[in-house]
Amino acid sequence: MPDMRHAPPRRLRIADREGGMNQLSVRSHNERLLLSLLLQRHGLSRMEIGQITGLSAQTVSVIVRSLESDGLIVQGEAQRGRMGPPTYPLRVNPEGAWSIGISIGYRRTEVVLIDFLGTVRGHRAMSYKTSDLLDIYVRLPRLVQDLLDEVPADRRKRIAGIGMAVTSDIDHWKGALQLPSRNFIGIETEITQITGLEVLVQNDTTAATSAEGLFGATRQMDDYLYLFLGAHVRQRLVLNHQIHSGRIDLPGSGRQTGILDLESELLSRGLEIDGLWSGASDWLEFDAFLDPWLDKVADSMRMLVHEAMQFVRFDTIVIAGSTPAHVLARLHDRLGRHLPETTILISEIDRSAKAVGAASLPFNSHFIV
Amino acid sequence: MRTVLCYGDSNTYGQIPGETGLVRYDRDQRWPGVMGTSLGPGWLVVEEGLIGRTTVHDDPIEGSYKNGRTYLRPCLLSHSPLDLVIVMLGTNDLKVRFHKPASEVAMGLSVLVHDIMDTGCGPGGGNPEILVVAPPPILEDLRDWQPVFAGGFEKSRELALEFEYVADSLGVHYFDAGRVSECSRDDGFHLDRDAHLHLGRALAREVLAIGWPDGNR
Repeated sequence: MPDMRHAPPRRLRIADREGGMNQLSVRSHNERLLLSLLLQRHGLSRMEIGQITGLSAQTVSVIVRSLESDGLIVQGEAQRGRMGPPTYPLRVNPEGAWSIGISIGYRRTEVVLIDFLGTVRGHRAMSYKTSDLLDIYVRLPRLVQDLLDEVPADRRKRIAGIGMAVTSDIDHWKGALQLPSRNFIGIETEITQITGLEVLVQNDTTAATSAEGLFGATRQMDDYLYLFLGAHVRQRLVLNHQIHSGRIDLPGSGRQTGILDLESELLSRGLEIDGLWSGASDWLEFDAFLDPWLDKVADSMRMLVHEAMQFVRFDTIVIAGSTPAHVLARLHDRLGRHLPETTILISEIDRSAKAVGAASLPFNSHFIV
Repeated sequence: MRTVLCYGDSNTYGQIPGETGLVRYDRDQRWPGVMGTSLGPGWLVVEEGLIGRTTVHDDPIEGSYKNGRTYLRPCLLSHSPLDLVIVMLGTNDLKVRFHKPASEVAMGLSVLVHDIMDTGCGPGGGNPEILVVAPPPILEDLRDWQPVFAGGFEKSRELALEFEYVADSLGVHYFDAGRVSECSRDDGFHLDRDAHLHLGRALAREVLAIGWPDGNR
């Protein structure tokens, strides 16, 4: 038996060290731990990471070097405090990893390209008056390809993968039975063939919730209720970073009022509703109808909150939505009056939150604990 | 007060490129001195640079005392307790008399790291932090020393990666001196004043980036 200390050094993880920004690889547990921490708290120093994780200074040094040489994190300039030696903050490199997210909605499908900090770097969308899966199935691959074509060739290898966010009832949508793959998820194979990228699928509300936890208002928060105002209102309870879905999101399962209710109201008055689903519109043309509708939305959200509070205690609610920002702000005011003892935060992810959440899936599977 | 030991060869000693014999830069011009100035009060920098020092070899020509391994333990214990040991060696192992590829030089270095860990020369008899520094590659034109280092030019370019493998697998700090300094054209394998300055400053930064709880001990 040879003395193991005289064995040649292991060359596993850094086999491609010479090349710099190489193909992205799935990282080790400690590397994921460090990336997760840095996404939560930008600018931690190596010493702080050691204190939080219990890893030794030398272990942290090895991990930092590995992530730094692969371009996933960057070390900032010295920060000089009033006393003590300067510290060197570490940050996740937004250019280090990119990802593509697809969200399939009742009236609109979005495709986004995000960087490692969740910033949307590219965007494509298609709207439709009624949701016909066959139509979406046919048009979606082109949409994804268009967005990919925008990415310079040398950056393509930094794309970690594709995430897709769908509603739980998607296989009951019109056209589902005519799909070549018999269910919508089958499109994943098709997109992988076209793009060469792995496709991961998740429920859309869960995806939006996880985007908030990774990039948004709840980065450093353990327990909260997440409310999403989309076609319907959906909710997720997050306890100790774990996302719980509770009631299955089926149409008619709730009295929740969503954008579809506003749509029927507008249609019944014979109004043009394209702006409702455009993603760019500020909805000012619907302003006369917003207040009564928001009263109803706030009411159903209040009931959801009370229901959840019968089982578990939480102090914070986050509201998000595929609406213009001012709509969420007005909803925030109403909920605040209903729930004076609860902290209510507005999402820090923009109205493409479900697509951003979808795009966070490959990050989760590659880089996050 | 924190204590850092700089264990190296002529490029830690501060030998002036192209000069013969024991002609060295002033204390505050050599990289350990520059590093000490950058680190500021609260740090004691101990210089242990020996011209011709190898990682683990008795030099059949220059003498067995050039062996970096046999001197390491008494040296560490003489200066203990040590908060940090910086090792920058490897260039002399490239001499043709040793016939060693870069990977073997790195294995010599890994033995030194193991020895440091076995010595108990750190605070409270534990391990000090260890920072492995890959020396800057030598140049193609080594003047009179060309025959001594025959084949060394290519091998010296492989040292940085081989040393990083060692640092990673043993879990110690690592820095590639070639990122901030290069050897002088005057002899092809020694650092000039500028190189010492840049290396000293860069290493101070590396030392501080490790993070040192409670500021001053």
